[in-house]
Amino acid sequence: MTLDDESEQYIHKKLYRSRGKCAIYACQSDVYVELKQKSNARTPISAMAENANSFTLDIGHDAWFHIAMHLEPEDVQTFALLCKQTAKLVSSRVFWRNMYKRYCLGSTAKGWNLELPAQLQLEQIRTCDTKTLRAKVIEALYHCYSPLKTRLELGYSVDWLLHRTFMSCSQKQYQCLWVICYALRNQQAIAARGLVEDEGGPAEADNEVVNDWEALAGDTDLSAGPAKSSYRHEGVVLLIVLCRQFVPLPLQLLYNQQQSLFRLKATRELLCTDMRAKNLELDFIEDNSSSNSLSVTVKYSRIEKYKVLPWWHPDFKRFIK
Amino acid sequence: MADFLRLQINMPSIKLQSSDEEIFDTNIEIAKCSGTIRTMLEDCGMEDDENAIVPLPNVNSTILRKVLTWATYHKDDPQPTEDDESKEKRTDDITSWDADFLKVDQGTLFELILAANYLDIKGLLELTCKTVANMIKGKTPEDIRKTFNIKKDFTPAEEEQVRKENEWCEEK
Repeated sequence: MTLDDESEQYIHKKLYRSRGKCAIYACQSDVYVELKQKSNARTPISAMAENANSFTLDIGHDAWFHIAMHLEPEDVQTFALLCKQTAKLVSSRVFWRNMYKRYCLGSTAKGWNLELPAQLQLEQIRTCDTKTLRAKVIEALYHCYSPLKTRLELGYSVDWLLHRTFMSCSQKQYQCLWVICYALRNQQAIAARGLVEDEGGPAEADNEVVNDWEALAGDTDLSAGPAKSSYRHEGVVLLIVLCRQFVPLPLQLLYNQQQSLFRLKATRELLCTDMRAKNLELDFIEDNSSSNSLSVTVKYSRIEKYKVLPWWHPDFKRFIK
Repeated sequence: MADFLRLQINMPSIKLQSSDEEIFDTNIEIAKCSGTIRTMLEDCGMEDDENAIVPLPNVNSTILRKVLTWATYHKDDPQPTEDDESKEKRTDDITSWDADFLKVDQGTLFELILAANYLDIKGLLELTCKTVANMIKGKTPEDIRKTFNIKKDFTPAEEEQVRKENEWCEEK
């Protein structure tokens, strides 16, 4: 078959001859009509006005970066909450290095700051990963940045612990006092961190099956927490209660059958009848959606005092190793 | 006075070209407050050539005019050293002239930040960033989004997560 024959066959396939007067038509399968989209509907004025108002400023990454480098520590949360771009900047290594350089670096040749403990000196934090660096810079700021130091002096109210998840509880005797230490964790802090740079490691490590159960039994620190972040105490808050009377540890919270988590639902500070001391009551509730969730109330009568220590507090590490 | 005038008259000038191709005949000493222009002049040997045009493709004429106004006012300021850069940056030390100079719309303010960064003018970059940092101070994220027309792109869960991660700087 020659090339001409092939072409002729192709043309016959594509065209057919009608029986009437009309000459040749293209096969139907090859003919189609393309509709021209033409909208006659006008945009309502209200919608146009709305469009004009909804103009958003396209602030580039570079501009946000420079602004971030000039933020004061107390404005970091507000800045992070603006948009995803600012949230990412706030979790970057360069941001925290800059923050340390501006507010925590000492005037000595090696940058030693005498207000800071050894573990927060420049040499110690230089090589740590971003999350640890961030946590250490925050700790350092609470040591040497005066507006934050003032906040520590004012202290934190017990209500600040509300809605946090119970992690562990321990007590020990010190002279004639019982020191009870509750560790509570921020649920959000242990959620998957989608916005911060994902380093992959910790989340995978959590899913690993541990065969050496004896090692687990010996681990008495906060490893019970679901997240094993590079800075494992981030998001943890301690409640330290000093009490003259012995009160047994709340076993329902510690050894609960369903392995469910308890949240602190309410706290009460009540004056004793002789008005010379205070009672402290803590209501915990099982953290599940069912209506019959278990509730546990712990009562400490005639407490000497209590203190709330978030993870950035300089005294935090005295109670937790 | 006569000496000062002579100095002004005899001062060599250079031509700066904005992105929209407007030419700005500028005193060379004022132009040199920009690290970018200084490097271009030195590296390309344009300092002695009065007809040479320095192209600035990232800065439009409106912004370049503002930058030159600022640079002219601050021409006698000492250049910031590296030590100054690492110092604690205060956000409440803006002079009244600078504050008036920056009474502009948000778009211009952010363009000035980018121009100061591109032209490597540390003083202007610091001033503009401080101004925005001051605008953020004491406001809620919602207020700031409204001020700068920023689109909120967080889901409620993400927003809550960011809030909790940064609770360390919340005032209680």
